[in-house]
Amino acid sequence: MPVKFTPIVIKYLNNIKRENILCQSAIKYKMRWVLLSIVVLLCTSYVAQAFEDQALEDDDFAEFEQFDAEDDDIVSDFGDEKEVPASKQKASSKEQFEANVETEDDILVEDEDNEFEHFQDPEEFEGFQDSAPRTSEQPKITISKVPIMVRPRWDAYWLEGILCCLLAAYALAYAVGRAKNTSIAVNFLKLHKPLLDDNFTLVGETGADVVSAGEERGWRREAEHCFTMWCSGRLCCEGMLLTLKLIKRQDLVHVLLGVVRPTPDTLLIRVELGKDDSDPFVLCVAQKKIATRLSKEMQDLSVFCPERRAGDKHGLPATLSVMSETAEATAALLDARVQAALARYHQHLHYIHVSDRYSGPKQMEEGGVTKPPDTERVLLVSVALGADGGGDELRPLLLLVFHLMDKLKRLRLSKEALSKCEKRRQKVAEAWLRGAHAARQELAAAKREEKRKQEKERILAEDDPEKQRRWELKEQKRQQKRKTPKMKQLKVKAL
Amino acid sequence: MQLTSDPRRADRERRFKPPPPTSAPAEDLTTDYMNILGMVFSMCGLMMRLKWCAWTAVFCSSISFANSRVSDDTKQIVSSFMLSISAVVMSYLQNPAPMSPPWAALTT
Repeated sequence: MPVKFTPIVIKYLNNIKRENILCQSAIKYKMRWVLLSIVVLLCTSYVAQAFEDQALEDDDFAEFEQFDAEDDDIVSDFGDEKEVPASKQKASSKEQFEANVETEDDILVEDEDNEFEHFQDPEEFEGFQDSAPRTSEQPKITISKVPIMVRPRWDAYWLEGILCCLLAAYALAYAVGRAKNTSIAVNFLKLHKPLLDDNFTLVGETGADVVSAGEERGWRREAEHCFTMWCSGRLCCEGMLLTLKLIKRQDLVHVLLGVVRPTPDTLLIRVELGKDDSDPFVLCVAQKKIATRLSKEMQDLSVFCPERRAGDKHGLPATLSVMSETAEATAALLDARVQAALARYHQHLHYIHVSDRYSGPKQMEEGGVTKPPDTERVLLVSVALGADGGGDELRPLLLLVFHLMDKLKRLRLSKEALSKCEKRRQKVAEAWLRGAHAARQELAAAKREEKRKQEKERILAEDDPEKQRRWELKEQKRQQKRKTPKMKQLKVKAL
Repeated sequence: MQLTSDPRRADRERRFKPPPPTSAPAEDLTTDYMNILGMVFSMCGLMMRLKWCAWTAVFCSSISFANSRVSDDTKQIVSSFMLSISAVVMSYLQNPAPMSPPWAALTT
């Protein structure tokens, strides 16, 4: 059923409705204001925040401003070190600003690379009191002038250059000297090989390290200055060894020494005689100086030929000396032909040494030498060659050697001389045996003494005193025993 | 002085036998002395960085080589050379300054 309102009620209801509408509009109005105020607040807060951010950004680099200032100072120091006037600075402020911006950028980059940056950071050092107050004025860095290390020029190495030149000269002298020595040896072969071929069936050697004229047999190279050649197959000898000892032309030092003290090239001829090729005797003909040296150095000469006589007593030049075991052999060997040859070529001769007991130079006494030295039957001739290896003057001397070989073969000593020589050899052998026996005894005594010393040391090293006492008693007894028999023998002899 | 008859006898041919060392003429010891000297100078050059020592060692080695016999041990000569040259090289690597003459110290 529909409800019927009275007009008053309807009016009242209309009033209420109008008031609601008014109320709604008022609320809407108020809401606008609130929204507006909120927006304004938000905007202001945003603006304020933005302003604050900007301010913070500026403050973040505030502490580095000081370093920038320092860097500016350093840059100005590293520059021309001329202070720019203030007025000029003001005048070109814009340009300077741009320049500063550029330099700032550069310096910042340098700061990043600076490996010593941490020294300026106070947080790097704990407990470090920065006592020195920071001042705006930095200490001026003064860079001292350090001498620049320049690599020395090549002319500074003049001493090294001289040494290198000397080395090169030495190498050159080596090559030239070696070639010269070789040519002397080859020249010798050309001159004298026919004579050697006439006397020996075997002359020289073949193979590597052989110096020869063509493809023949020749010298064997022992060193750059020493050549040897073996000849064999002849009467009156087992063989003949030729040794060509030349000046050391390959060694510049020896060449220079040779200027001060000249030495000649030498040919040493060593003829090995057979058992029946000569009688037992020793004879030496030598230049005076060499004779003195040989008589001291050579074992056989010092033993069998103590006397040294002048050469003129035997029909030889006065520059020569003769050391002989028996006069008979001297007279027989130095016949007229030999005398004539020596008179003519004595300046080339060093010595002629004939020996049946040749054992070389005296051996040094090395404690107990119990074995007699090996002896040989030899004829030794030493000849000085002429300038640059000599020439034909050597041929007569080689012929003299062959003549001596033949003479030695034919030479027979008289029975008296032979027996004297044999007796002398026996005496020497006995003396040698006695000496060897004494040496052996000394050696044995030394060994015994050494053994006793070792035993004593062993006993002393032990801790047992009883053992040591016993050993001492034993030693005393042994010493007494060694002494007493002699006394008894003396007593027996006295009785 | 001429020979009349032929003295050659093939049946008396003997092979070469080197003479015993006791009867041989005194051996030349220059090589050995120079070898030892070279080694001593090389060691001085290497240890004490003395350039003149190193150079002397090179010369000693050269003299030793020039006087050596064919039968001598080549290894020893080569090692002596190597040692002396290495002494020179090492002394200049360590200090490339040129060598001063002995009278330079007296004048200064």
